[in-house]
Amino acid sequence: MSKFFAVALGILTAIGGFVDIGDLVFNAQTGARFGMSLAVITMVGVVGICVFAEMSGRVAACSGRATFDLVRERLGPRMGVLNLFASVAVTLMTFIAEIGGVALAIMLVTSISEVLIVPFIGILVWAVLWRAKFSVMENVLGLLGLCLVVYLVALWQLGPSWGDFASQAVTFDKPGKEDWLTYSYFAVGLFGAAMTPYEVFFFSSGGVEEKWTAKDLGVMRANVLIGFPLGGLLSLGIAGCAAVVLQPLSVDVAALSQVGLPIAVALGKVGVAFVIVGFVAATFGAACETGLSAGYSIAQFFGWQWGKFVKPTQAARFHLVLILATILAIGVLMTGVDPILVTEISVVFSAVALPLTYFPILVVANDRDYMGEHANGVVANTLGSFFLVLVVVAAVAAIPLMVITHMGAGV
Amino acid sequence: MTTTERAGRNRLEHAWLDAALHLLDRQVVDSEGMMVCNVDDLEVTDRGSRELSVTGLLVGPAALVPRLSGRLGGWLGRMWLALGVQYAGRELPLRLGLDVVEHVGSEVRLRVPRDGLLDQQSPAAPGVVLRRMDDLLGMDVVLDGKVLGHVLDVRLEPRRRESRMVVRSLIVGRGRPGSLLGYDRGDVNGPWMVAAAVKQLHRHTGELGIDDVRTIDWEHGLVDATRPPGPLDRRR
Repeated sequence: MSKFFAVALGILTAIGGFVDIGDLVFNAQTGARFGMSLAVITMVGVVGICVFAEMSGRVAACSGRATFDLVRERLGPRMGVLNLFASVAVTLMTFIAEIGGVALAIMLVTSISEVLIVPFIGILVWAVLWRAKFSVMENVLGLLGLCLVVYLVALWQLGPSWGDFASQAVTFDKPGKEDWLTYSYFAVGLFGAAMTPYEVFFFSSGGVEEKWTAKDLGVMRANVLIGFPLGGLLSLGIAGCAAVVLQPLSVDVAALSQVGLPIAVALGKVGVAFVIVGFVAATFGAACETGLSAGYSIAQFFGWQWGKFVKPTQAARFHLVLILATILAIGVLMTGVDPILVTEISVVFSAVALPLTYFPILVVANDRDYMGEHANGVVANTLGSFFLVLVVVAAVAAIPLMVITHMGAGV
Repeated sequence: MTTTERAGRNRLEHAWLDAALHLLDRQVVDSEGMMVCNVDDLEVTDRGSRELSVTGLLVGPAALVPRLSGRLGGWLGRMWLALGVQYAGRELPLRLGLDVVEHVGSEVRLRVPRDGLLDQQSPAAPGVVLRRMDDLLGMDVVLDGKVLGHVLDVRLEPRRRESRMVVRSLIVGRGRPGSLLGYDRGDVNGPWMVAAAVKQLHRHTGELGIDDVRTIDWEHGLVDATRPPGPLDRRR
């Protein structure tokens, strides 16, 4: 059991990256509209985030410096502050959406008004960020979030034609009624969601919270190689279930209840119980991840003490940022905005912030001042360079595609 | 994790280090491993007759905000002053003397705890002018009226016993992105694609010894050289 907990950080990071409220709906939407033709994109995204999370985790373990330290140091304060604005904007938008997502998940089982639930959840998230030990947070939320494995069980139960799935994925077999521009928009969205900057901010800072050193590189790599592929698998499971149940009905997925429908069909009430626990845990976990990431980024840019590994009074400004973020989130959600819409917009903007985040990681992972003998080898550099090119392409294409396709509604 | 367990090599024990690449914008950590601040700028002591040395780390909005405006001509810096007209010493940053700096590596480590450490920069002693590293970086380097390039970085010689770092030479080049990445200084190697691109962009980068500088015009941002920069010394 303790071996499981050693990889809890990787699993929680992956939950925030692959099955947060935006991805839950986006993946189901992808499956409902495109079947499995975008599966390869998700897999490419998984490899990409593994490459960069491993690098940022290695930098954190060898030097104690988390990712945003590197951004300011290598790009200078001007580019650093631009990246800070973009990253914090995206991360805060996602934080707001996640708290809204927890409320949506709870509203699947009760009819308590949103006005009452949202402040309660906001305060609960803040209390966890303020008081709960980092390891308790990651272990509990990581474990409960794994209830989403019920999607893989449901997919098995639904008994799709695996051959069809495989051929759709490998041949990028887009359904006739969708055009290639919309396909590209979904591809960029999936890739951007898999590689959102807050994942590496959280993973590298979490590594410092866990006090990783050069001796813990094996544990760090286990976190990466178990956590993110698992997250990708859950993503594919959600898309697959949607492809089997929702695609034949031409359902346009926009609500969390529709995301849970295939589970009800395949596994009945027991499955629904698991999936609701999974939804609540995954969105709550993603809320903690994005809240902390926003605090980490701001504190690391200005050089303030950050982290849950010191007492709150020793990292006063960091915790103040978390309080303000929570108040902002509750305030925005009380206006009744749809959390899913907020997160879909933020995914696209995060694609723009990607190159400014990943480039410094790649550079510092090669710096022997930081890494000593653990600097990048040829494999890490080749993969890193390849994905950096992909990331730049995604960043450039993101906003035009969003505008042209009206956020996936069709050209 | 104590700070000593992450030792790594200390650049203060080397023959030289580069101000922008190795010092500026680094995290400052105290003797107990607690984070203090970021290096927002460097205090440069000007004793005239071309003797320039770095004597302290500058911290705080008064040091950082002017660095954010760049081509906006110090607009942000002026706005910072205007927003605090009623405060004395608004333009004075907080300062950490080099005497408390123990180790310069992936971070700047101090030899004292952080409580009550940051204090406002004191006025200069008579005969001495206090300047900022950010004003020196980016200055045009001219030879007989022709602009050779810009100051990309400043090479410093650490003198620990004197608690200062003497300016030894200026790294001069065409001022394009990538100068902070260390490739042109022989510091970082991979990945191949980025290294090759940056080396190509910086093939005209050279080193100008401080003895080959006739004057530095701080008002207009001009360095008057007596000869062209020589090849970059890449030895570590």
